[in-house]
Amino acid sequence: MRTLIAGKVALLLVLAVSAQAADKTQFFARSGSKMRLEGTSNIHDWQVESPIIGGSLEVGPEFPTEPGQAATPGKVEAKADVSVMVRSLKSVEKDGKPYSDKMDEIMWEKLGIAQTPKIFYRLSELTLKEAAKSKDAPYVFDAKGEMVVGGVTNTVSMPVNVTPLGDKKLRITGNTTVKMSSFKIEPPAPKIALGMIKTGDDVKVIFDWMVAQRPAPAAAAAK
Amino acid sequence: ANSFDSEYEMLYGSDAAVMMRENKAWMFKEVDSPLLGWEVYAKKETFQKETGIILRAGASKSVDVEQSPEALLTSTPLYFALENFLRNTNDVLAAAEDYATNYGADDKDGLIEHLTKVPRRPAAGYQEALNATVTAIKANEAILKHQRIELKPEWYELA
Repeated sequence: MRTLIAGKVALLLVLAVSAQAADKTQFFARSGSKMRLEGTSNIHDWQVESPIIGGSLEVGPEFPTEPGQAATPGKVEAKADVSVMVRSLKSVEKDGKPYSDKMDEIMWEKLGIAQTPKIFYRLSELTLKEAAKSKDAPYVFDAKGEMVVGGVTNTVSMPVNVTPLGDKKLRITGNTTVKMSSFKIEPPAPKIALGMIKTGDDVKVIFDWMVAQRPAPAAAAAK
Repeated sequence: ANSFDSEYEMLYGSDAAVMMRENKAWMFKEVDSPLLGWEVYAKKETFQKETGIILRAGASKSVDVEQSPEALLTSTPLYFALENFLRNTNDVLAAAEDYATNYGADDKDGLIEHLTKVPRRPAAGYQEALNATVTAIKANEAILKHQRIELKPEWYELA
């Protein structure tokens, strides 16, 4: 009898967890993303780009996933884990052409590529500030999370725009400014010109992240 | 000149000092002087515990003839071509690995498109090597035969 009751309780718990999971929607990173870092130095401004942003996003039922979907401003259920490979960050000219292998090597060394090959961002809180004004317009959120660079973690808050593209795809964009020193990174001053090259501490992080839901399992699996 | 010191001339400015000694000159910039941008490309030399920019006529165009034997051996065009080839190969492999890790290995079309966008450093491929070889052979033939040889487009096409 006790075994039967325990079995029924266990079954109810499993059903409850399944129901809760079914309310959540998962999105996974897709190609077409880009992260850009912009900084300054006493010689000229510099920019670095990565064409790959990995990770996933899990959202609750009130999160707008379709164009023109109604949404009420306020806190929404969302969790994201985002990563960027340090070695995918490459310096570029203003027109996008590759800039310098030497600068890339100095940057990777400063980011601690050997010990921490990835930069991470973990979203902890998402608040809808403004619903989309049209089907093509983005939803404006305030995002709060943790950024991990070179093994150092800092809390970062920034505005984020989410644009549902239809076909279970989202485009997530945003930018924020961080300081190298807040991640215990000394702004590079390479010893190649009497030590005259000094990099600015502020770095602007701009991202354009494409995510999509995974397609349903192939029909062959249903056979 | 004697064991104590030699004759030289110094010009002192607010941003730098210039020393002229015999047929050489150096500029020693002040630490807080503004950087104009060209200094990073100028040749420097350590002199009396200070590092100064060498002031030499035509320095931006002249070839550095003071290279050590090792530097000469590692600075051949073949060295740079091989270095670029290895770096390009490494970049493409890393890009492929990062794409598969982050987006999955099943999106082959996306992977191909991504790899075509990976910037590559200038490096001679097989076509450039063929063009250079054919041109050199025909130029040598023209010199030896003392005759004019017209370079035909089909000579540069692979069968």
